[in-house]
Amino acid sequence: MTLGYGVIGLGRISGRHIDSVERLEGGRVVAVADANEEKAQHVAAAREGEISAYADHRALLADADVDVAVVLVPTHLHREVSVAAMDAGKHVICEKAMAPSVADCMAMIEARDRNAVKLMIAHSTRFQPQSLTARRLVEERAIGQVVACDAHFTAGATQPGEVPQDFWRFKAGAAGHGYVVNFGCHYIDTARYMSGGDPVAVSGHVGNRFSQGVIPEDHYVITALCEPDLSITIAQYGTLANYRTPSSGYVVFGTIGMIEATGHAGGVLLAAGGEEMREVSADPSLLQETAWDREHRGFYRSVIDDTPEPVTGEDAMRNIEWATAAYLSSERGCRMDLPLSADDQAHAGPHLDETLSPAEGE
Amino acid sequence: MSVHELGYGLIGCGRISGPHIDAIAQTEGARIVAVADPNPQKAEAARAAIGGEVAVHADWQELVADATVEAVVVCAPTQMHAEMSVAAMAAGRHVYCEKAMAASMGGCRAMIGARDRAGVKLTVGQSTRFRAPFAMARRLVERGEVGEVVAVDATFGGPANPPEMGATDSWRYRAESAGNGHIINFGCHYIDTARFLCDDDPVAVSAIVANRFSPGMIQEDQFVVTSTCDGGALITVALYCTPASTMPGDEGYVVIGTEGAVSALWRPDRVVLRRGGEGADPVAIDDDLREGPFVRLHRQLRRAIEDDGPVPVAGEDAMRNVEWGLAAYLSSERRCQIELPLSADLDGYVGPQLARTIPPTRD
Repeated sequence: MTLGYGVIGLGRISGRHIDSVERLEGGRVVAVADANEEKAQHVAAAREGEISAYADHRALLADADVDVAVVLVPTHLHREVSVAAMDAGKHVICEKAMAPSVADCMAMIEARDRNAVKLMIAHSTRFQPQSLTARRLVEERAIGQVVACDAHFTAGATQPGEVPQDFWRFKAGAAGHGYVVNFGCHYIDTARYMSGGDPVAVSGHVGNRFSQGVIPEDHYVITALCEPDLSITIAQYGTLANYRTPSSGYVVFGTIGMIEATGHAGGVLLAAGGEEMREVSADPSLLQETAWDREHRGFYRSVIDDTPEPVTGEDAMRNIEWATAAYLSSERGCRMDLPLSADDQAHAGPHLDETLSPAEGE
Repeated sequence: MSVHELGYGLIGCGRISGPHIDAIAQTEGARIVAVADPNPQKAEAARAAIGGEVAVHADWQELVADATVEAVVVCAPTQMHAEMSVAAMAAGRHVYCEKAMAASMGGCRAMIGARDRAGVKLTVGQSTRFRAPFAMARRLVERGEVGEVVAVDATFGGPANPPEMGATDSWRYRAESAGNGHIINFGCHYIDTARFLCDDDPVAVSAIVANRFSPGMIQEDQFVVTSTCDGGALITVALYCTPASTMPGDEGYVVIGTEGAVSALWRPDRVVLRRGGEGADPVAIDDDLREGPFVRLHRQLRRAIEDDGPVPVAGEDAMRNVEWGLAAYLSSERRCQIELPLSADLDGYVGPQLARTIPPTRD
């Protein structure tokens, strides 16, 4: 059975999704939409097959050929666009982060249930070969019981005067564009996936050292106590040079060993049972396709077979809950228990009050 | 340097006394003239290791009163550090006290007060920062190789103490021993080295402390402690102890800067520098840093006594490590971030203690 895909939002990430849908047996891109109509027409013309181009996503959602909406708009618009798509009877695969607040996520889940459609959040990093390999080793009990998962990353700080042109993260009101939500939701999702732990209490330091007034935060360290009993610590530090630290990536500590997933060509490093650290390669089949291919194939199957999506709304919402708890923990100086209270579920993290002008020469 | 031979008295002849005996033997103008330990076998073993004429005291107070003793090395359990050090300084002795400085902030402050009153030297054995790879990493940071420091991360593994493993006769299993939890005992090394690497001091501490595998045996076997520092750096220190302790033996720190990062591992010693756009460069450790940490500490202390110069690790400096550890306990208990300095009404706070002494069942 062939499903028609409508892609909403044609920014940087859209190419990967369109490529994957084109490679997907049973999937075909039938429509694209972008507020920039020229861009929509350009993408429609550049791709094979007949693709309708829309300036307004609502027109795309009214298109009867569209079975699945691929929602790639800025995070603060995910809820509005996804709910409209589901209310129009479309299945939705929505980019991460799911939405700026837990309340937004809940509204998306409700729309899914009331329309009896599928909703998946595109947490692509858990479909990367190293994530799948680490997860397999954990499931095989190669490191015993998981004790902790630590992940440390660097990122470029965004200093005043370095604002890229026309990027949605720098527009006023664009909630959900801070590093905790934007990058952190990938890191916590992958750490949860690898370790099997779900946060139940979160303690966070969120700060801004070099990027004042440009992005809400440029560094954070967030520790979560989980169920089952393990801890996940995620840190990201904005710096002024582009480099990877020796520890960039994930380390999963277990009772009898540890796994390092720090980008070794899809494989991971394993030290267990008192043996020297050795490389465990990814299954070759994992290198035959991209993470986005796997993601789209999994979602397609869930639609066709009416089975749970590979990343459900409830699952992805936990990443937003973690991020929200981290912001609140840092603001209040206290550890936050999950689930959050109804008031805190509506908290959407920081957002810019005014749109920043792009730096000259961009 | 031709210096007067200073008489040293060693209080506590447990495991850590060995490196001190070796280091003092390699320090010009220093000789151990007296030892004290409540266990006569341990005292005798230390005397034999030192060689020559060494007085053996069963009571540390006798050693402090011994007129041939001019400097005292305190290697007793943490909760006795303050009492012993203060008594030694009040008797006019210089003091080298093992880490952790003391079990409480009150103890630390009493030691600093005694030092100032007596006009003697006091140093605390925060030896890890003197280890070659960490000292080299600091040198790279000082040279500006990583730019401005943004963060220091340090994660460690270690053995848990499950009840079935039983206890040894170590003071760490005694109920009355305050300051014997891993946060104070090991953590004070980790935070000291991290502070040294970034030259920044915690102003707020947030921690999660847990006991997963060692219930009733030790205070905690797992912690993750994040500190924001005065100069803007973030320091995150974690320890995960597991029954099999199969985690990497290398103990390491990563210093993340605006322009690059340096990682420093001990056992085996390795320093690696990474900078924007460049690969990872192993860095050779400078020869002058290769001397053992205890030798470097003792030589610096001896010089400080001779020249009335600065000690290797001042009391005010080491006190911050204890304060960090106590703040971590408080943060975990209260589930809130704790701001430093700790208020004076917490001077007697020593963190959690064991409910009972665990009788030794193994060597």
